[in-house]
Amino acid sequence: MVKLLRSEKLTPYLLIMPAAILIVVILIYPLVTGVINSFLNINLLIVRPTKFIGLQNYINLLHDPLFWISFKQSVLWTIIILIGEMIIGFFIALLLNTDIKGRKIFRTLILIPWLIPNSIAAIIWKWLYSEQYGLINYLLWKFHIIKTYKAWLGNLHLTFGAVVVAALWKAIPFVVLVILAGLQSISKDLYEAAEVDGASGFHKLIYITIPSVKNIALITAILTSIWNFNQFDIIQVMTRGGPGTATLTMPVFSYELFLQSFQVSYASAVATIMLILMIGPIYVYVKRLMANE
Amino acid sequence: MSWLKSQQKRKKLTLTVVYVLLILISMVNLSPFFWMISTSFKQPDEIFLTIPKLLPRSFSFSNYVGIWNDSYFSYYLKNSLIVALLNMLIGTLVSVFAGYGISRFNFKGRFLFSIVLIIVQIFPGMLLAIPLFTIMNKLRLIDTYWALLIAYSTFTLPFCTWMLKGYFDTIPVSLEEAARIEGCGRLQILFRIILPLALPGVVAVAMFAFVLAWQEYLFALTLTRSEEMRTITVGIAMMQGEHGRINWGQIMAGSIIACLPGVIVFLLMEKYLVQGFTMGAVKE
Repeated sequence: MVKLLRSEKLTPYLLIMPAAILIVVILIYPLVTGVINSFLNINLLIVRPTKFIGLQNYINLLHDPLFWISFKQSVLWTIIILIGEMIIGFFIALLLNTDIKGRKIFRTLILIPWLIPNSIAAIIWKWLYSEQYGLINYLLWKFHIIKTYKAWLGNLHLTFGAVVVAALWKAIPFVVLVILAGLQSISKDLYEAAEVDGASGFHKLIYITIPSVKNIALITAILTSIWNFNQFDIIQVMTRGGPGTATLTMPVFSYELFLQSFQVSYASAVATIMLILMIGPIYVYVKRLMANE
Repeated sequence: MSWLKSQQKRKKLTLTVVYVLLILISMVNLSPFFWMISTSFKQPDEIFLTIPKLLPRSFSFSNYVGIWNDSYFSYYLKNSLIVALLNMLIGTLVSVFAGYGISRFNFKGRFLFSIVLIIVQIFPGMLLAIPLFTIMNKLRLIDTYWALLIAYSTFTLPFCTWMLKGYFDTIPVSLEEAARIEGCGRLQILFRIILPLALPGVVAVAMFAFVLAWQEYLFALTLTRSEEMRTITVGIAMMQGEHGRINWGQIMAGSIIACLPGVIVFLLMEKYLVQGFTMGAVKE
């Protein structure tokens, strides 16, 4: 082994080999398996010979109202969280980019939600939203925002929004972190030159700040959208897609098909459609990131 | 002169507004944590009040003792610790070599390997959960640490390799060239020169690998079956079942323990983790 390492041609391959082999075996192989499963008829509850049924699962999905509900809600979920996290995240990053004392402490305090497990965040919010004893109902009632206590996680109209709020709380810190790093890499000379020319704060924002972080904001938007589109933990722990189908998104739908009714092939078809939907964003993301390399 | 004065006045006002806003945002942001900590010290009769009390009557650890004695919590904790530690070891070891490889060598396939690493970093676990379950089921690995470790490697390796590559990139190549002339082998260079210089980065990546495994939910939910094999994230989530009166005091106590590794690791390694996370996105 060590002897081989001395010849430089082979060295890099030996170095990356363990990682490369593992990635192929534990990632690419399962992924291909998943796509292949979507063309079969595997159902763990029905013992029958596995056979190739072509696009039948996909045809069934297109006629399945639940699929369309989950698709629509996944899109809605991703867009709402994207807009919310970018606007609020950008605003907080701008605040943290000023030269106040204790800036680092504020940054850490704002990042904390990002550091805890998703499922635990979901549990904390479930407790906050509790109908009878929850803090949120009490505070809203005390400040006369609501007249009666609401079932935040058991109401067809309120639950989607309630879960979005919890997901936003978890998603914003990462946006702040990355946008702030982008803001801090802008050269101070630009601002000083603008000030000499008598530019107002607003002008500096429009002509210097926003153009400078445009690229990193775009990368962050794509990356977090992919994450949010696939958000499973928070929704599953808080509502499992309910009440009814109020918070049913594609990952939750796929998982429920798989773990509740053991329709492996049907669930794999949902996952494969998710994969197809993500190819575009993933391509743009990699291209942008590689342009930076 | 007066113009300068008004400038300074405006600056002061702006900073005050920024302060007030940041304090407000931090308070709102941290209130769920405050409520979690407060609840974890409350007795059941204080938790189920229509008018909640901000602070518990006394700081008794009865919920912490309770969750330990009344549930499988000690199993959850043990499982999470074992899997996270093993994930840290495997992930760091494999990533150190791979990260060094892409950082230092120009070889055929380097670009492809880099792209694969980036793609799999953002790859949703959801697409792997079902096939991993069927594969592990065939191999009879469901409900074992192996299943979890294999699943966790799918995101640990790409993340850690990419972060380590970033840390290695910051170390000048000239040091290695000098060592080459001295006649050192590659492995010697890696272990004697590069690793000591990149040590904080390597430690940060190792801790990060620990936290990644500790916080995972989807694979842990899919690939474990018995109470004795559940990890902390899944175990606590299962405790707040659908029916009956939920023991929020104990659940919040357990949740705090589940939150600790992530927060502690970040506070210890803040500089390196932020650098590692933003390196990919912010390039000068």
